[in-house]
Parts: sequence; structure tokens; C-alpha cells
Amino acid sequence: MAMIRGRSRTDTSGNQNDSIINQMQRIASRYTPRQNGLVTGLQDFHSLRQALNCASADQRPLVVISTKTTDRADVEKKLKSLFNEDEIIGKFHLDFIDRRTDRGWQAVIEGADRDSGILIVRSSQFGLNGKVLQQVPLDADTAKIKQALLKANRDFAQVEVRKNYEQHVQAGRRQRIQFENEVSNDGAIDNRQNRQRRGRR
Amino acid sequence: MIRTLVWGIGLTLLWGSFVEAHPQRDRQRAGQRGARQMGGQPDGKRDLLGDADSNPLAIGDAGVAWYTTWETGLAEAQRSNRPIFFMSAATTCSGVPGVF
Repeated sequence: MAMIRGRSRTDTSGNQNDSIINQMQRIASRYTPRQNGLVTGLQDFHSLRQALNCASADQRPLVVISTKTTDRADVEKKLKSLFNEDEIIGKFHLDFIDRRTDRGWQAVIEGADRDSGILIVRSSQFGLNGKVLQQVPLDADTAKIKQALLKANRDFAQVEVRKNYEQHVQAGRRQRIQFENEVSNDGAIDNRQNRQRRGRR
Repeated sequence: MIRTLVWGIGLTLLWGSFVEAHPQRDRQRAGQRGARQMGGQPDGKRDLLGDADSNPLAIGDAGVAWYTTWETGLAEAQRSNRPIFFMSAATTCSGVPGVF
């Protein structure tokens, strides 16, 4: 894998991509996915703050689900198959509201006026807040939810313009936008002297 | 050694997820639209690492359906018996959010 990690952007080519893909397929061939191996679970971010940020970075609509704790399992069960459909998978990010970490969540989402429901949100340019594109109640049937998702995705694609990374960062600097990432103890920077150098050896 | 193993094993799940989340018609369309946006060749064949300036995937098309936490990714890998592509990235650049 050093080939991938050490490769620069200037020396990439279709042949190298093919080689990487071949390696990945070789590794994958050692595993036999279970019969229902293609049914994936649902996403849930650590916090709405991080979900908005990722949705903005990936430029996908964010599905925000606010439920009572007792309802969550039922909602997950209903959405799991829907979010594995070809028309839906990979087009959205999902986040379940956590009452502890996401207090006051409605304040950062324009148009979120109910305590519970399924909200399809367009995250802002810098992912600090969002705006509701579509909203459906938790007890809506899957056909109605799917219809809302597809419409929201179409609307999103109409108005969202693909970011240019350099221009995005310059705009953020000009507007003095700073995002403090939360780093856990496990991810703390090791400032000890003479610590072993990371990277390729 | 362990890190190399994790990277090696992990690449496969990314590819698996990529293929899974991109039905062939979507992938061809994404390549064509993305190439037009980037001024490249609409041949649907893009560099795996992408371009330095922007994401070549057309907005609204399916991307990688990735897992947001190690716990959920691990649980899914064990459940489905597939290897993990592990990738660590920050959604900030120079402290500016909204970008990978």
C-alpha cells in the first residue's frame, strides 16, 4: 500500500488506477460476503454539528431524524431498507438527533419547527447551519419518504454548485470562519520530544 | 505492519462500497458530467485520487456510502463479512469547515 500512500497527484494514470483496483479486488476476493451482505446499516454522526460539516463537505443533502428514544428502533427498521435502494444509497448523509449532544438543534436548521420528524436539509457553504428542503413525519410510509428524498435531491442538485477547494478556503479565511474539531484523548497530539516519526519508513 | 494491513484490507471495502453505491449507469453519467465540469474527457474514467481542485462527481449523484464511526463500520464489516477501508480525514482545511 506504500504505492498509494507515497504517490503524488502528478504521477497518477489510468494504468495505476487499474492496478489499485486490481489489488482491492484481490483482497476482496478473499472474503465471501454473507447472503445479505449488501444491506448496509444506517449512518449516525457523533453530533449534528459534525453531520452538517460533513454534508457540506461532501455536498449531499443531510437527512436529520429526530425521534423519541422509544421510537428510534422502529424508524431505523423502516429506513434501513429504503436507504439501501439503488436510487437512494450514497446520495444522502444521515444523522439521528441526540438529545444530549444536540441540544438546541432547531436553532441551526432554518425551517425546523417540530420536535420530531424526518428533515431533509441543505447544509450551508461552511456547514455551520442548514435549511430544510423537505420534511415528513416519522409515521409517513416509505413511499412518501422516498418521494420527499428524491425531490429534495433534485432540488439540491439544481441549486448547489460544486465547490472549488482553494476558493472555498480563501472565502472562509476572508470571513474569518474557524471550526474547532473535537479531539478525543485517543487522538491527542503527542508533543513528547524524540517521539518516533510517523509516515513511510 | 498493522497499519499497512489495515490500509490494505480497507481499500477493498471502499471499492466494494463504491461499486455498490454506483450502479453502472450512474457511474457513466457521473463521469461524463463530472468531466464536463472539470473540462476533461467525458470518458467516465477518472483518476482514483480525483482532481486537486474539486470533486468530479456530479452533485445529486451517488457517492461512497461511508460509515461515520469506527463502531458502526466494524459492526457492518463483521455482519457482512467484508474487509474495511479505513480512511481518516478532517472536514476542515486551515480551520475552514465544509471541505475534505
